[in-house]
Amino acid sequence: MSNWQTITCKHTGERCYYLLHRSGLPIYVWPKKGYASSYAVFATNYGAIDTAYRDAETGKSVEVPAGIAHYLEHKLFENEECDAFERYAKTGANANAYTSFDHTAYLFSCTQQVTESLEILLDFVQDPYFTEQTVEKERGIIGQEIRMCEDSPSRTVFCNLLTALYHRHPVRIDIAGTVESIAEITPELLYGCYHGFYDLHNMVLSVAGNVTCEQVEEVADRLLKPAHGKVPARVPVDEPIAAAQSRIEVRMPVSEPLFYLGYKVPQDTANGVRFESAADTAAADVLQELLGGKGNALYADLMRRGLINASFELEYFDGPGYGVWILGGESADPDAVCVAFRAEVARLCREGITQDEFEAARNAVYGRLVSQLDNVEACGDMVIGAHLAQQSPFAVLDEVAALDIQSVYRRVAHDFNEEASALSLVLPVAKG
Amino acid sequence: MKIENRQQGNGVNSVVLSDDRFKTTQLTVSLSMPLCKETVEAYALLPRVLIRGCAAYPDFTALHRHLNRLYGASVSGDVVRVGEMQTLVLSAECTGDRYAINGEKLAAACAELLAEMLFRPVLENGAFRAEDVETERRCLAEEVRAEINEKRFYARRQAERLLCPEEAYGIGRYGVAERIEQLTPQTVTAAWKQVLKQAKVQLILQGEGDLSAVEETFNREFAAVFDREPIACVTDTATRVPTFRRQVERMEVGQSKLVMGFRAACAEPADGVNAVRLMNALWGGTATSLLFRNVREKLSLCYYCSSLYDRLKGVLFVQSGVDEPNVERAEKEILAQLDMIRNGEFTDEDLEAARRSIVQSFEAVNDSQSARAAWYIGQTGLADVCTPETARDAIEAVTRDEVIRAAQGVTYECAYLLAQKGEATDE
Repeated sequence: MSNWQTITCKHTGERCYYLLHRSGLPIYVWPKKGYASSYAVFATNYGAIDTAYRDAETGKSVEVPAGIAHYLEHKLFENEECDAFERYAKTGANANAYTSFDHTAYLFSCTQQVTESLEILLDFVQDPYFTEQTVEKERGIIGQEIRMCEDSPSRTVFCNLLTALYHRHPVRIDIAGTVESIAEITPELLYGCYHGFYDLHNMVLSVAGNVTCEQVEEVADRLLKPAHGKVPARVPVDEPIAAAQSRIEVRMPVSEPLFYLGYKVPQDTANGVRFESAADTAAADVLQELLGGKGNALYADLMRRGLINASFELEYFDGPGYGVWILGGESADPDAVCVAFRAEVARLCREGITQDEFEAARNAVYGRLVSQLDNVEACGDMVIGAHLAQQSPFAVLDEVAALDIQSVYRRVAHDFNEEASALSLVLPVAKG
Repeated sequence: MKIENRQQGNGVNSVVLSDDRFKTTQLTVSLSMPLCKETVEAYALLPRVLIRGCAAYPDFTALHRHLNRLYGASVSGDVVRVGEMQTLVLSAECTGDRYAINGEKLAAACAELLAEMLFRPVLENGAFRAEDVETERRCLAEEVRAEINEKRFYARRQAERLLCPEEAYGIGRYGVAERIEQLTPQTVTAAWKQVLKQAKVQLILQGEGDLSAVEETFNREFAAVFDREPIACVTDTATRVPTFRRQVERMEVGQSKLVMGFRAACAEPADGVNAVRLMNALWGGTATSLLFRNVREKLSLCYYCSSLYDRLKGVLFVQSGVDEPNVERAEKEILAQLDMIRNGEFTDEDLEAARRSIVQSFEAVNDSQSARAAWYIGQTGLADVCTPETARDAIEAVTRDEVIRAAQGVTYECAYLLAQKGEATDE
């Protein structure tokens, strides 16, 4: 245990452990006493937005087709002999994977044989096997997945919002890419991205639950292969402040209009690296509660006027080079909701809030974060999210407890610019 | 962790799970009534109206600001379908008392709030406030109409209706939007009184330390309900529709959804239920099941293909996302995989993988308060309360022959297809 560093949450006393493994891989272990289940996530700091990068050795810019990170995730499950699911069948672990805009993660949960499942996880993610034939076969499955997503109004309204907000940043393109873009994917391109971004220095392993540091370290020592550490650099995107378009509409079979109002938040980035601090995240969390929570009179007012229903939500969503406030749900009159929300933002900037309102919202955010610590999966994911944001696992929780009202004022004044906003709508198909 | 299960004799059963691992307290009151066409909408709306306020906090915004001060405590109210029962679930959740910065007694405050909402809601002239009923009625009707937005869920609901056209199961948990819109403060108030008097009640109390005071609060309230007479809820597991039904519905969609409906030979509380559970996991219940491996991975016929078993009603569904030209082949292949189980054409390895998967999902139940609440709510109305450990042992004991027999008892009864407008005309 000599090289493990203890990380303690100031307010709850919760503890996890960190080791920078000799292979270059950062490892977090969060033992949860008395729990039967374990959860492991092996993630790379590489996602759907990484369609252009600078090669670490040649310094040359490389462009790859949209959707390649997601394609790679699908293909990695298969190696020469069998696929990873068949191997997990022997341990009974429940395995999965996902690709987000800024990272790709492979995970499992189990109550038995955690070290055996961890071996499978570390092994197959480090063992790519792509041939013309297997890559071709996957094209059909991913094509079906893309079509399934196109049938989802909630996904459409979200993807269209990002397309409307962003001129250049690749977050404007769907994670899975398009049927056309995935047609260009070859084994060579997949190997190129794999060898660049699936370098252990660019990855992170998080294991939480019924597990010890010793168990994880022993498997890591055996399975992790030395990595070169030459990771391609993200190319910073010169994204204008204003939205690309202010409104985008499509028609689909839905019962009522679905809307997302988005505000693009200017990012202070250099080399595509995010500089949002844990204190900034904490301020965003509290602001979200103040503006969109049920404790704000706006919610009850919109409900009373018949403008929103239980699907109403406000959230902040961000990653390298992008950050968006999203307000949305179903509404018979989305424009009226937007007018009311804009007036509420203006009121907050003009009049401020009482200390009592602020403390109620801060307590709420704090309490919800504490509750998350009960869930093994939430703990494992929290570590991954914090690591990729270059934060300590408990930093946001501790910052929320220490937050002052001025940070919220700074955030609201900085984040909501009408020029940088867009409204995405999915309207019902005309009858008849 | 300590579990206590008590029958109060007046149709109130409490499961108290005192557990110091958790930083959260979760208090759940479930109230079960028979699911039927006449009352489904009123019972569906009731929990939503109840949680809008109480005498101490009649104003919605003030109530939620109060909850925020209690460290993000929350109350929720909804209904679930449990077999052919409609179960109203009211819950309060808060962080454990020891995390309150100023020493507030959060669990007691939440228990009191929940009891106030259920037993002393805000009434005007003896009925719920018109504004509360109107707002929640609109929201619920919109939610029911929005079923069509997510096609996978919509297709499953349509298949349930097709499988059980005359049974309560086909009604769904919320009923029909048009009838929801006709509910009045008076009808919902009458439904509230009916539920307090007749529902089978389960209290599921989870948190650290001693929860006996919380339990006592609810027991006292139910004991004080005049003339309480819990009603029997029976799920019909005998009905069979004699003819095979096939329905095709066309819409603006890119990918078709095929949902196949089946009946199993048994439902709770019959002994054979565990064999069907294991058979379902082997067939299509896991990511290593026959349907996933063969129909999705090997043949690439479907983007997703999985089966599920509702053990309370004794029905199974196979759901798949499939391109329309592949529908016939996919259907045949799904049935072929069932035949293979019927004929014993599966390896011991496949069977043990399915068993391991169920066993581990049961073993994980106690690690999550919401999973545990759902576990006990799912047993409302059964004579014996079964812990995840007992259920695991029962799955461990199922034999290969029992799995084969379970598959032989499955009958294919209907197929529902949601497909693209303007394709083949086979309606």
